[in-house]
Amino acid sequence: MVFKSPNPSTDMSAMSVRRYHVTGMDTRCELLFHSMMRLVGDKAVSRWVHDAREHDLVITGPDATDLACPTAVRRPFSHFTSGRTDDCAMLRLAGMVEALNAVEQALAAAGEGARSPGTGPTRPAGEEVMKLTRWPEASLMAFHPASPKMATLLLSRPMTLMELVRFSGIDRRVCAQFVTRLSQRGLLDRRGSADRKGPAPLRSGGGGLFAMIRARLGLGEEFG
Amino acid sequence: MEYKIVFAGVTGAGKTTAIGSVSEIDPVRTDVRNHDASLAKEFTTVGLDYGEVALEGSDRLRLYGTPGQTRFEFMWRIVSQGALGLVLLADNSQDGALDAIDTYIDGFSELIDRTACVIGVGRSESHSEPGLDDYADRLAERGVICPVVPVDVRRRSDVLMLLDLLLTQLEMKTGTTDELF
Repeated sequence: MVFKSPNPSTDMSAMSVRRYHVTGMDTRCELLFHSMMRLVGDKAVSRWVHDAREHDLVITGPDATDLACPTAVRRPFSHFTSGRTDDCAMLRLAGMVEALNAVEQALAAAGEGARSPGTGPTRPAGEEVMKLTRWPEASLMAFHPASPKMATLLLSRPMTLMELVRFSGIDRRVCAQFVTRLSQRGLLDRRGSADRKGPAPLRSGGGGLFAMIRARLGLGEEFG
Repeated sequence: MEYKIVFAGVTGAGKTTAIGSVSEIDPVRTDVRNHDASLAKEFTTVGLDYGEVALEGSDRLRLYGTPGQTRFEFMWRIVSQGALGLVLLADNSQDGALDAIDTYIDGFSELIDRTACVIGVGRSESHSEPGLDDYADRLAERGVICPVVPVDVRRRSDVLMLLDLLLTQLEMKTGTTDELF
């Protein structure tokens, strides 16, 4: 194979922004939580920043008080721990990314838009779907070893960036960068999700035919 | 149940090798000594190559390699019936590699329309022309948008990548497997 190593740079400016707030937790846990959020900030579907005044998500501890932003999604702190306790020592990066993406999906389903980078207008997170209009040039495919996988997903059906991340299992930053490059080359047909047609993607989990084939060939399961 | 994936492409593209690299059984080969001086190979396939992968219970994934010569085109249609998808192999070291793709796109058009296709271009490291972009352009002109990737079919990982990209298309395109049959 001739693919080059991935480009480590990250186009953070292209990421949508979600805001969170923490309430009702002891100082030590809250500080640790903020630190962990900074660490996972570029791994989740959206970039999460702390904002005590306006937020999409409130993480509540045992002493939670009234919310500053009543429309925000409310999740107990235990939602972000790997165990079933409120112990901040149970925080794990992978679990936090998973939990944040679950919140992102809930927000998207409720039509709560992520903020565009900076202070720009809001756009519903995951609303815009993209479809590849032709197989990308070899120079673009050399961007990352997973480029063929991402391109194949994008040519098979219209999907959002969030779906691309979920279906591919590839790091969100890599997906975002790849989509940005495709877009710059004019290879993406972008439109609202209301225009999406066709069946939902087949989930290969649960003993489906393709899951069986993947398992026998030793190919990774694609869908969670 | 029995499912099948078809491997096609010009003689010498490596269909037999590709099937052998993923088959769980010793592939059944129908090779005979090659008398075509234009082909640099001692043996060539005149019937179908066959390999298989056991699924659950008695289910089987059957891997069929079609003979490359166009005089066997009638067999392409037969083996395409009920297939899950097509792996099309190109050989960049052969003259007219790009034009040959047209032949197979025509010959397997029904299968491509109904399911999915992936193109593996072999020997592109030693023969850089035509480039992968040329293949993608030619396919796009024919209205076929599918993965075009470099492969070395001697590497199992490369053949698995082709199958992965094929399965990915099928998973994303279909709501149920019933739509494939």
